[in-house]
Amino acid sequence: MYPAPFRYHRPASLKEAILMLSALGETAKPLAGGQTLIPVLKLRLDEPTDIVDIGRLPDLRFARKENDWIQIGALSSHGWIAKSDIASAIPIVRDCAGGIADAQVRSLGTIGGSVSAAHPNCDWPALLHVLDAEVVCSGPNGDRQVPVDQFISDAYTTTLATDELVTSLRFKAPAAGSGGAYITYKKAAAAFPVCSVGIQLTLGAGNLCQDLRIIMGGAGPTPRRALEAERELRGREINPQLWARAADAAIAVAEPDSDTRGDTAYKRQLLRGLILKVADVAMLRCANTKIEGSHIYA
Amino acid sequence: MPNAAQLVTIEVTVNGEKYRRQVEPRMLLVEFIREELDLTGTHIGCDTSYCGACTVQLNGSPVKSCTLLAVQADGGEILTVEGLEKDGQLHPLQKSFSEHHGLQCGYCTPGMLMSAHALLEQNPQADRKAIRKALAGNVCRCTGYQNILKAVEAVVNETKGGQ
Amino acid sequence: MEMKFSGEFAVSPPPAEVFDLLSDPQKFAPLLPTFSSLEMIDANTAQVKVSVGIGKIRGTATTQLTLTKKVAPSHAAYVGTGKVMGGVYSMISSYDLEPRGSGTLVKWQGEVQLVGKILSLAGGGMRGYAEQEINAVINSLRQAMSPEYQQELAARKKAQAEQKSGWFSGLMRKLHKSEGSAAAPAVDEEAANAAYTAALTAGWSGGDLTPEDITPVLTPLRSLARVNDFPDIVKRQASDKWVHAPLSRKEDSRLVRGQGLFVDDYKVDGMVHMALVRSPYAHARIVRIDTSKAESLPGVLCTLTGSEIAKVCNPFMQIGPGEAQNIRDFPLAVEKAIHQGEPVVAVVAENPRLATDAAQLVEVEYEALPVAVDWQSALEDKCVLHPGMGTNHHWHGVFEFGEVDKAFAEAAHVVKIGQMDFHRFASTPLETNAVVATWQPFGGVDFFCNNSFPAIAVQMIAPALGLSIDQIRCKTHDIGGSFGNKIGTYPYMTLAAMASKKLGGRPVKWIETRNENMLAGGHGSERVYLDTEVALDKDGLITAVRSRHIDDCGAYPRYEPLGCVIWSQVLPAVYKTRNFRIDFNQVVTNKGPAAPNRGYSRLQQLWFMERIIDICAHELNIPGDEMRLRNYIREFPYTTPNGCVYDSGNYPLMLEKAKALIDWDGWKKKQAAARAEGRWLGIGIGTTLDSGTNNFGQARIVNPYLPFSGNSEVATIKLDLDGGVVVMLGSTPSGQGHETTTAQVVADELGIRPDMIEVRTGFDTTFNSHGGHSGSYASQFAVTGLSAVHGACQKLKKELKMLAAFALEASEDDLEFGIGQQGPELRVKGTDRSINYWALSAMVNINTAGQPPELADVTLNIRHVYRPPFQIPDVEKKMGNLTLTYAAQLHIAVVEVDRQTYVPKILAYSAVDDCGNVINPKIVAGQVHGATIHGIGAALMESFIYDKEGNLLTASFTDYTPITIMNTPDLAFGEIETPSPFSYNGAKGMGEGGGAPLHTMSAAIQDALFAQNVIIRNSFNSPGDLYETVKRADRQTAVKVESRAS
Repeated sequence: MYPAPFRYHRPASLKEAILMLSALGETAKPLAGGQTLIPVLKLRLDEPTDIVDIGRLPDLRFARKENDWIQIGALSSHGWIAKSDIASAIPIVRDCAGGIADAQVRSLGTIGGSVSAAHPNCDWPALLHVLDAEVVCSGPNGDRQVPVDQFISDAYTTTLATDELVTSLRFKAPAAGSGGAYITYKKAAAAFPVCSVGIQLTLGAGNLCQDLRIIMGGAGPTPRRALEAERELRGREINPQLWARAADAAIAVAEPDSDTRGDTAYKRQLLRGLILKVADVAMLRCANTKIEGSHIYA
Repeated sequence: MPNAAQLVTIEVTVNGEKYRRQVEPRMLLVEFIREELDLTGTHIGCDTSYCGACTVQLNGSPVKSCTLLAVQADGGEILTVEGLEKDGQLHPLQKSFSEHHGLQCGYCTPGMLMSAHALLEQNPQADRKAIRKALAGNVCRCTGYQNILKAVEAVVNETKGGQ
Repeated sequence: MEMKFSGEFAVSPPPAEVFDLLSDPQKFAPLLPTFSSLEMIDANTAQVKVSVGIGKIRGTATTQLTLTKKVAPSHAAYVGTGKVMGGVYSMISSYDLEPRGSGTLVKWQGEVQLVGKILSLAGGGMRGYAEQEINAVINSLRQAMSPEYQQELAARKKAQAEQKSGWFSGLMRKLHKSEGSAAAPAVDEEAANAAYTAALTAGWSGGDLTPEDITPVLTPLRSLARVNDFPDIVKRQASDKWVHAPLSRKEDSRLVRGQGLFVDDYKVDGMVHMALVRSPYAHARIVRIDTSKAESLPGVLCTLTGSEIAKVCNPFMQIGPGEAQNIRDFPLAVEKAIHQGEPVVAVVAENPRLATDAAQLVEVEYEALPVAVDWQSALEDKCVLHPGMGTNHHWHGVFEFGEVDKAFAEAAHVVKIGQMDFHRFASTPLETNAVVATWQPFGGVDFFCNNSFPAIAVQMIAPALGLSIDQIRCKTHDIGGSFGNKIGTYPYMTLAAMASKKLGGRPVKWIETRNENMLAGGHGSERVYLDTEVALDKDGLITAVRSRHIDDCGAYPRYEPLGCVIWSQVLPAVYKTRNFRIDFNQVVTNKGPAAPNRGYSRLQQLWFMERIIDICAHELNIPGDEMRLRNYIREFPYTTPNGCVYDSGNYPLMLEKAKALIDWDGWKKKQAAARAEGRWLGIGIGTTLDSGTNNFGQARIVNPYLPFSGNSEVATIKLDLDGGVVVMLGSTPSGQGHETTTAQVVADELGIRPDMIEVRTGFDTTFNSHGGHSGSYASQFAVTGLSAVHGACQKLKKELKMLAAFALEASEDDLEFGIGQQGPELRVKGTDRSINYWALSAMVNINTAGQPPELADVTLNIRHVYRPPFQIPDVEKKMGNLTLTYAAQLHIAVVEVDRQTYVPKILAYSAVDDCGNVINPKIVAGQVHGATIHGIGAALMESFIYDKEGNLLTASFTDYTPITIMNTPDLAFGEIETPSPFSYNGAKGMGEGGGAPLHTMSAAIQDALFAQNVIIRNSFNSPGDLYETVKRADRQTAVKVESRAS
C-alpha cells in the first residue's frame, strides 16, 4: 500500500511551520511521528496535497517540572517519555507511555500527535484527562492553553485550527500521597485499545479519599469522566463495596460503541472490571508500593 | 492536484554505508530499502503497522519501516538485518535463532532479529517479560514464539555468562 | 451497513422559501460545509462533490443525487449513490415541511447503506462516525437557512481575514529578513506577499545529486552468494545417525541473513506491477467500467477487465459434480461480483505506486444485489450466486455407517445438542500471495510464485489459458508460510500471465496487499452442526452419532467440495464409536472464497467430536479424563467405520504424559480452591488427529467422474559432473525444513554427512521432479517426500555399486558407502581400495570409454516416484482408506475466565505429540509449537466477522489481530513415538496439528463455565462472546439428556 502523491515541506522553525500551514490551508497536514497519519495515508483514507514535516522542529522534545507544573514537549515520543524522570516519578504516566502500541511505534509516535489525532480509544487523551492536563497550542497569534477535554471536541476532532500546532502538554504534578494507575484492554500490543481506565487517587489517613479522577477511554467519542463515581468516593473512607458502587455509577455514563470487539453491554462490563483493577493498583501506589503497570492483552 | 513529480534528495547511512538518493516524498522507508538499495531482507507483512516484518533500527531505535517515509529518515543511521553480520561472523542473535529453531519460513525473522537487537542494545540483561514486551509488535505465524523467546534468552544468558 | 437517521429543526424563513432551497441541489449543495463542486446531469439529477470524513481525516465523496419526488411546498425526496474513501454508499432521504410561526419546521429522515473496506476499520464501529457526518450536514443546512447566522458568519470571516493578512505579511517579512534574504524592500506589498507565499509553499527538495550519488551500487547477485553455515552446524552437532538428530537447519543460513528469495524480492529487467480494483459489494452487477482515466495516467501500461478476459480465457475447472460444473470462475469478475474483494479490474503500471494510483482512477458502476451471507439465507436460494448452478447448495451427501437407529434404540443415554458453530478464520501467512508471470516468446508462461500446490495450479492454469502443461514453467523459492492458504493462488497467477501476454511478455509482478489477503486470499471454511444426537451406553461409551453439517465455502468453491469428504478421514476422531449418520452439505455464500487451512476440514470434524465427548462428560457427570479413557481407540491398526485405517497410536499414554507435564493433580487442587473463591477456572483436554498423505481417490466420493486416486511424490537425485550429490524435490516447503530433513535421510543412506548433499530450494517444473500430486499440504512430507527421497537413494546406490564394482574389480556385496580422504566414496570392505563420487560420476559423464555393456543403463540421474499403497474407495458407500498415517496430539489447558472482564487467560498448557518416528526433533517441536499457538489464536482472537450486507469487518491485521507473543502462554511440550507400520521410516506426516487448541480451549472454557449453565457451542470465544454466553446461560435449552432407567 502506498500513499497518494503529496508535496513535502520541511520547516526549519515552529514559526515557519505555522506559516506554511497557514499558507497551504486545509489540505495540508502536519506530520510528527507519523504513526497515526502514515497508516491513514497508506489506506488512502486521506489524501492531503501537502505534508508539513514538523518532526524535526527543535526544542519540542522535553519533559520538565517547573514550579508545580509538569510540561511535556509535543514531539516527545511515547518511548522517550516512558523512560523520562517524569515517568519514574508519576507511575500513571509510565503505565500509559510504556504501554502504547509496541516498541517500534513508541520510538516514533509522539504525545502531541496522539492528542491531535484524538482517536476515541487511544491512550494519551484519556490519560491526560485523568491528569486534568492542558494542551498548549501555538498559532499565528501566539500560544493558548486549552483543557484537554475541551481541546478534543469529538471523535477524531479537536479545536486545533488549521494553522495551529500542539507544542506541549502540561499538568499539575499529583500531590504527595497520591497514586494513580492506567490500564488498557486490547487484543494485542499493536491493536487499538478497546477500553481503558485511568484513576488518580489521593488518599488521606484511614483510606479517606481526599480527591480522585476517574476517566474511561473507549467509552464514547471522547474520553469520559466518571463524575458520579467520583462523588461516590470523594470524602469517604474507601472500601471494596464503595469501589463497586463507584464502578456501577461510572459505567452508567459509558457509551461504548458496539463493534467486533464486543457490544455496548460487554464493554460496559469490561470498563467496570477495569475500574476495579485500576483501583487496586492505584490504592497500592497510594501506599507507596512499587507496582509495575500492565495492560490486559487477549 | 499534488505535484507527483516532486523529488527530494535524502542522505542516509545504512549498515555503515552512506547513500544519497532522490525519491518521491511519498516513498516509504521500507520501499527505499528494498527497491532503491536492493536490501530485500526487510519484509512487508501487513501494511498497517501490526506485524513488524519491516522492523529496522533508526538511530538505534526499532521502527516499522512501512510506517515511516524515507524522507523522514533523512540524515539518519539505519541498521537492517543485512548489517548484523560483521566480518563474516553472524551476530549471536542470528546464530541463536538458528540453534534454537527460532525461525521456520523466515519471513518474520529479519524484523524479529532487529527488534531483539534493539532490545539487547538497550537492555542486555533483559528478562523474559522484557523480551516479550520488546517483541510484542512482531508477528510470527510459524513458530508460536516459543523458540524465539528461547533464542533471545540464550543470547542474554551468554552475555551474562561472559561477564 | 444500514443506518437510519431522522430528526427535525426549525428555521425562520417560511416554508415556500425553505422548500425552494431544499428542492434544488444547485441552491442547497453549495451551502454544505464541505462543498467542493456541483454538476447538473439533467433537470433532476446533480453530481455533488463534498469533502467527508472523520475529524481531520477527510476524503472526497462524489454523490449522484436525484430528486424523485417534489410536492411543493411540503415534501421532497432524493435518492443518491456515491463513493467515499474505501467504500460506496446509497441513500434515500426525504423531508417534510410544516409552518411553525412565521418560520418552518423541517422534519427529515434518511437511510444510508454503506459497503466497502472502510467498514473494516475501527473494528466495524463506523456507525458513530457516520452519525457525526450526517449531523454536520444537517447542522450546516440549518445554519445556512438562518439569515442571522449567515450575517454573523460573514462578519467573523471578514475579521479573521483582516487579522490574518496583517499578521501574515508582517511575519513573513520578518522571517525572510531574519534569514538574511536579499529580497528588495517591499515596494508592492501584495506582490512581495505572493512571492513569499510561493516560496513558503514550494516544498522541500533537499538539494541536488552529484554524479557519484547516482552511480548504482553493485549489490552482490543473490544467486551467487551461496551462504552456507551448514558444514559448521553439522560439525558442531556431529552424529552417527542423522535421522532423528536435532540438527539445526540448512535453510537458516540464508534466512537469518535476510538473504532468502521470496517473490517480492525477485526482480528482473523490464518488470512491471499489477494492482487490482476489487468489488466493495458482496453481490453486485457490474453496470459499467471506465478505465480511461486510469489508462491516461503516465506510467500506466494497460488495464484488464472481466469481459476482456472472458473472451480469451476458459473458466477454471470445477471439482463439484452435476450442476456445479456450470460455475464460471474467472480471474476477474464477469458481469457480477459475488463477494466483497472480488477482483474486477487489473491495472498494470511501471511501478507499484502508480499502479495503485491508477486503480483508484478506475470507475466502476455497480448495481447492488441481495446477498446470502450465511447458510440459512444461502439455502433459501432467493439470491443465487451462480446462475449456472441454479442453487447455492453446492454439495450434499449422507455418510452412514453401522446401525445408527439400533444404537439409539438401545442407548442408555441420548444427548441432544443444539446448533454448534465452527467459525471462519485463516492462518494468514505473513507473506501474502504473490507471483511474477512472464509470457514467453514461444507461447508459454513462466511463473515465479509462492503457490504451495503447484502441481494442481498448473493443471488449473493450463486449460484456462489454452496451453499444454509443458508450456508452463512454475517455480517457487522461499515461501513465507502457507498453511494451505496458498493452494488457492492460481486465479492470480493466470491473471498476471494474461497481463504479461497483453504487454508482449514483460514480467508482471503482483503482490497481494494484506487487506486483499484478508478479503479474498483464502479463508478456512466455517461449519455449522445441526440436530446433533449422541447415543451412549451406561458407562458413557459413545455408541452412535447423528447430525447434519453445513459447510460454508464462500463465493467460489475452487478446491471445494473436497472438504466435503476430507473430514471423513477422521470420522470417529480418536474414539471407538461405530455408528454414524452425518448428513453433509456445502453451500456457497457471498463471502471470501475458502481455501485449505491448517487442519483442513478434519479439524472441523475433530472439534465437533471433541465438543460431543466434552459436553456428554459434563452432562453425565463423568470426569473429563475418565470419559476420554473410556472412549479412546486402543487397538492398532484400527479400521474406522468408514474404512480408514489408523496406523498406530497410544492415546492413554499421551494423556498420562500431558497430565504429568502440566501437573494435573496440582491443578485439580488449585481449581477446587479457586472455585471456592468463586473464580471461573477450567481444565480442558483436547485429543486430535493429524491425518497425513491423502488418498486422492476420496475425491471420487464427492464427484465420481474425477479421474484421480492415490497419491504420489517425486524426488530426483543425481551425481553431478563434479561428483556432487544433488537432490530435487516436488514439495514446496514454507518453513518445514525439507532441505534439512532430506539431507539427513540421504546422508544416512549414503553413509556421508548432510552438508555433503545439495538439496535444491523450492519447486521447479524444469527439475522434472514432480508428479500430479506434488506440493506441500496435508501433512505428508515425512512420508511421501522422504519415501521418494529414500527410493531414489536406493536406485542411486544400486548404480553406484555397479560402477564401483567394475572400477574396483570387486563384488557389489563387498562394497560399502562412506567418507574417504577424497570425500564421499565406495570402498571394498576391510581394504584401502576405494573410488570417490567424482570418479564414479566421470565414468558416466566424462571418462566413459572402455566400459562393459552392463553399465550402459546407468545414468546417475535418478527420478523416483513414491506411490502409497492405496485402493480406490467405494464411492457408493463412501468407504475406503482415505489417508495413510495418523499422527496424534493431546493438549491440556488450564484457563481462567476473569469474572470482571471475561478475558480468558491461559494459566498452563501442555502439548504432547505423536508423529511416529521423528526425523528431526527440533523441526517436529517447532511445528507443534506453531500449530498450537495458531490454534489458540483461532480459538480466542482471530475471526473473519461479516456484517449482514457481506462487509468483512476484520479485514486488516489491526482488526483481525493475529496472535502475538503477548497472548502466548509458555508451552510444556512432550512426545511419544508410535512408529507407523505404513511408512518405510515409521514416520507419520505432521505439522497441521489437527486444531488441538481449538478443542482444548473450548473444553477448558466449558469446564470453567459449566456451573454458570453454559454450554460452549462455538469454536471462537472472545471475551465479548463469553460475556454473551454467560448472560445467555442456556444450558437447559442447548442440551437435552434422555436417560433410560436401566
